[in-house]
Amino acid sequence: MIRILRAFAVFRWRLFINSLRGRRRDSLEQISRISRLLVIAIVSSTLVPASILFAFLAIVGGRGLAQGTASALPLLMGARGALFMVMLFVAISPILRFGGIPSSVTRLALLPISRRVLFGMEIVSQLADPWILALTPALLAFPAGLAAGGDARAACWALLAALGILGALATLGSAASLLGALLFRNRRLGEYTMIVVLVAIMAGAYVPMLFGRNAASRGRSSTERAAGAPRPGITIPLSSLSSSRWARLLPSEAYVRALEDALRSRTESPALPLASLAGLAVVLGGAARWAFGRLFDAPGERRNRATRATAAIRAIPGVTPAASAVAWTTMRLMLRSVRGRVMIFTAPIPVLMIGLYWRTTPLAGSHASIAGVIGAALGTTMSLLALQSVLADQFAIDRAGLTLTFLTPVADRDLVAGKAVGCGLAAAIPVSLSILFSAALHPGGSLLLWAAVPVAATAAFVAQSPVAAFLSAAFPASYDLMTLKGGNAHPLAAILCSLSTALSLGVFGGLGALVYVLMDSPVLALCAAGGGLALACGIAWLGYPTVARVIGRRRENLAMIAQGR
Amino acid sequence: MDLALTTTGLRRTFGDFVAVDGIDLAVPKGSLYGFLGPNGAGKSTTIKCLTGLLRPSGGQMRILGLDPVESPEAVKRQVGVVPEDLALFEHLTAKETLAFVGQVHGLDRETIRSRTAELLALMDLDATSGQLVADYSHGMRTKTSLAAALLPAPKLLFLDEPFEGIDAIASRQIKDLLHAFVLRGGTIFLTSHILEVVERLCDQIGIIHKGRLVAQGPIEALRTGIAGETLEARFLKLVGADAGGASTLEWLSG
Repeated sequence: MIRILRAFAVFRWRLFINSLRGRRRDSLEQISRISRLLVIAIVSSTLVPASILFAFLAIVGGRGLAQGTASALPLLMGARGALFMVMLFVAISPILRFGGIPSSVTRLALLPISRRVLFGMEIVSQLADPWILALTPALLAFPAGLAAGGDARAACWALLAALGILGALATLGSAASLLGALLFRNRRLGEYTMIVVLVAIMAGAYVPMLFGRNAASRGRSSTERAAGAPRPGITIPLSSLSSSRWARLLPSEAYVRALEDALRSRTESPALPLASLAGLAVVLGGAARWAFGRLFDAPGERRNRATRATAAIRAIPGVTPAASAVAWTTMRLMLRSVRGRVMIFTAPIPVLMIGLYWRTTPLAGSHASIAGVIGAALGTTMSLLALQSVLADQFAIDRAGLTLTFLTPVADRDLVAGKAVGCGLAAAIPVSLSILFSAALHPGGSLLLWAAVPVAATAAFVAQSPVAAFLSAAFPASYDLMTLKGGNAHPLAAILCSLSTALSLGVFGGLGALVYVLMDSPVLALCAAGGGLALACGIAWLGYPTVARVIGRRRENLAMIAQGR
Repeated sequence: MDLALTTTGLRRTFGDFVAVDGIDLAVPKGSLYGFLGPNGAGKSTTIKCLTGLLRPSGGQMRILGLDPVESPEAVKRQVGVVPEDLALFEHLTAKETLAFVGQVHGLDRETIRSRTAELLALMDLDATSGQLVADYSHGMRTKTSLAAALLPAPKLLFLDEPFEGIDAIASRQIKDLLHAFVLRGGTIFLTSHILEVVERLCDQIGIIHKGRLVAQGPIEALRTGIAGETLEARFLKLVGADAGGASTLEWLSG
């Protein structure tokens, strides 16, 4: 057993060290390697002091509680919040890691190690999760503090509760990771799950805004609202969590209840919450064991993803058949890849949530009548900015497909035009959704003003497209949209692309907005946006040949980098 | 002799490393030319230069009478390529891949549809045409790549290690297809390090070693050059391989 543990520890360590190494030593690879090290350094430099601080607070708090000099409430609230967050991270991170499956399951299945031992290793390895690791010293320091303060009984219960919560977190991590791996074997189901989780997280971030506003509104009388009395501060009723029945099932709540019972009086036994904690660990462990068994029974099994083989051979008006083919392929990549879908479908969420917020808190003054147009403009801006990483690496995202494109008689100018049209079609989805959401929630305002929004957005996109194509050709980076871990656009290209998009949006969007504000005429605003579009087409017409020449010179590098070489 | 492909002093370097060192190829029209060489000899680099994926460092090339550096698009309209890594869009289906290739070659919709249906049926891919290439096995990917190369009806086909990692059934299908292609007047330039494949399939042969062309000509001429010698023995002699250098590994026991 020790021999196997040692082998696994060395194995994990080598994986970590090798992940920091680069194959090449050119400037790009060096930058990438250093940035990875920086991330680790930043995480360590925040997690380690935080962990020490938590442990210190726990030991001081435990001692104070035992001696009756400290209040239990802030300590338990802190524990409740911290444990809830850790629990959330542990449960969600495998999904965000696109399955979280250790890819070595097949390799492990070939080793002469019993399945029982391997499952034990899987559970134990969860304790090395950085979040759990950061919290463990505090969990163990708290009973030590209670013991130091002279309350041995409460210290024993707190120690048991600490072991219980660690067990529950480890089994929760294993269950999430292994069930996630099982789920992600069906690629389509896995991808949809992840998109739903990401959309839910994004939407969830806005819930406190809506919830706080509604709660505050409900708490005020109509006379107070009419008199414009100041709103009371938003309070989040954390303590109410423990009172709800479903919340009691959470490991973090069971832990806090066990501590409450241990501290409250000597007559009340924390055995019940501890038993529920142990029961949770057993249930989660059982689920993890079941998933582990399924994975090992058929480690290589993977359900394929059937898709609608439409094979559309449609020409897009205004561009050559070759450019149309490139555009449709780019569009399909955006709609079929995990990251493409995330970019497209999460971009309109803020507009939806802000639109809902504005329904409860209408905009002040004359803006209230055009709240929908403002929301649509905001959504358009967010949608275009959300696609920057793709725009900044639009050739390399094709990966091996770029080589196929280079082997076919596609002229460089057709490739540039096709990519611009394809990215534009992809951007049109979140932009349209944003406008639809805004129109549904705030339908007021002139139709001409509504029409000016997509026209100005198109102008901003078209004017910026040669810049994005140039940056993609000049600074390509290996970028796989099909997985969440598959690299990213070159940081410099991404930054410059975002800045140029912001500038373009500022110029072409600002032009329409300025005309509307100064002239108060939706017709003129639409005309200004239309004029901007004509100007943008001129910029693109001048820019594309230059970019095509750059691509012609860099084909070799582009194809190699796109395939990660 | 009417030649489909010629190179004169073709050279490609990567820094100080010379991958292809001034080779002179002559591939007759209507032939199945096998380009043989050990791993790392320069086969793939040569084929990448010929297909426009790499820019040669020196020398000249003529493909179907055209210079691929001067007129890359005109050359690409007449050739099909199955590259070493197959180069497919992972997020497309086989049918969509063929539609993409047909569209960029300027074929009309009906031609693309009919040729796609025929090729997918021939390659046994019609039943799985709804799956993404990302979910295909290596053999299915090879067949998809070959179908994409054949769809525009090329005059010259470049195949880089097409029999690598595919099963006997798929291998047989591909061989039959290649024979039929040559019988109809097409030319094939095929690289391989598997001698048996080249010996059975090809009528012309070129052997590359350390970036230099060490032999070229009809396969029969290479065979009869040294009486009683097999192609394998001839090949090993040309590339200077030591056949008896295996370590004994005495600790291995049955």
